[in-house]
Amino acid sequence: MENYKNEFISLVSKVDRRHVQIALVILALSLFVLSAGAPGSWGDFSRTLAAAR
Amino acid sequence: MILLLAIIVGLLAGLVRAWASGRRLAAPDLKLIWVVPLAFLPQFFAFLLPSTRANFPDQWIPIALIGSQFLLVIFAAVNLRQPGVWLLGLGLMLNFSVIISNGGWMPISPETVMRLAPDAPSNSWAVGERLGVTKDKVLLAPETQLWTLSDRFILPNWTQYHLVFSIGDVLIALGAIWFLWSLGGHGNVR
Repeated sequence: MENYKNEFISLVSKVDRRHVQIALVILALSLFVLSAGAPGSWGDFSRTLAAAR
Repeated sequence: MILLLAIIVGLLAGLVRAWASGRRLAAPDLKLIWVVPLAFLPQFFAFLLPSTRANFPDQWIPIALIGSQFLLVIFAAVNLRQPGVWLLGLGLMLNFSVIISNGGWMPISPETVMRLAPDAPSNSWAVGERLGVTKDKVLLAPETQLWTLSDRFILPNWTQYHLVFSIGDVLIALGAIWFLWSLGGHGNVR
């Protein structure tokens, strides 16, 4: 168990902090455009109809 | 979901710009970044997750939508100095304004619905009702506040995507591309 823990910590410490920050920014921006825009209206009304059938 | 294309385009543009100028992609320090997932949650359950969106009460939609977009306005305001965020914020404000003015719904006219889904059975939608499980409510154009900002544009037929969008959606897409493009110009030199 301790070995796995140490291995995990070693792996995490190798991750570039800058890359993590960029990934978080891209994730946040993606959620922003989905929420600020109108994905419902962009969404496929036809698919909604098909599901209703 | 198609708005995510703007993220892909912007990211590619930013990477190419960084590569061409011999820089690394910048990692911007956005303030209150945790507000964004918080704002996304109500919309995720109301519009995206199939198991919840079908049962999400219509009377809760305006609360979810307005509350969610209000949080995004705060996020955009505190990050206004970041490149492109003013455009993202302007697009958000246009959508937010028309949604607030129409009782918490994005309006769509019957004419636009008929262009969007010409084969839809006539009993599948009605004026004054929510359009499927979308953010849109079908409203007559003369009864719509700020009609010009509503969902009234449709992609050309050759795109094969029957999508309807607003001016605000376009500005949001352009703002996202601008922001990601800017990341390629401010990073450390390799």
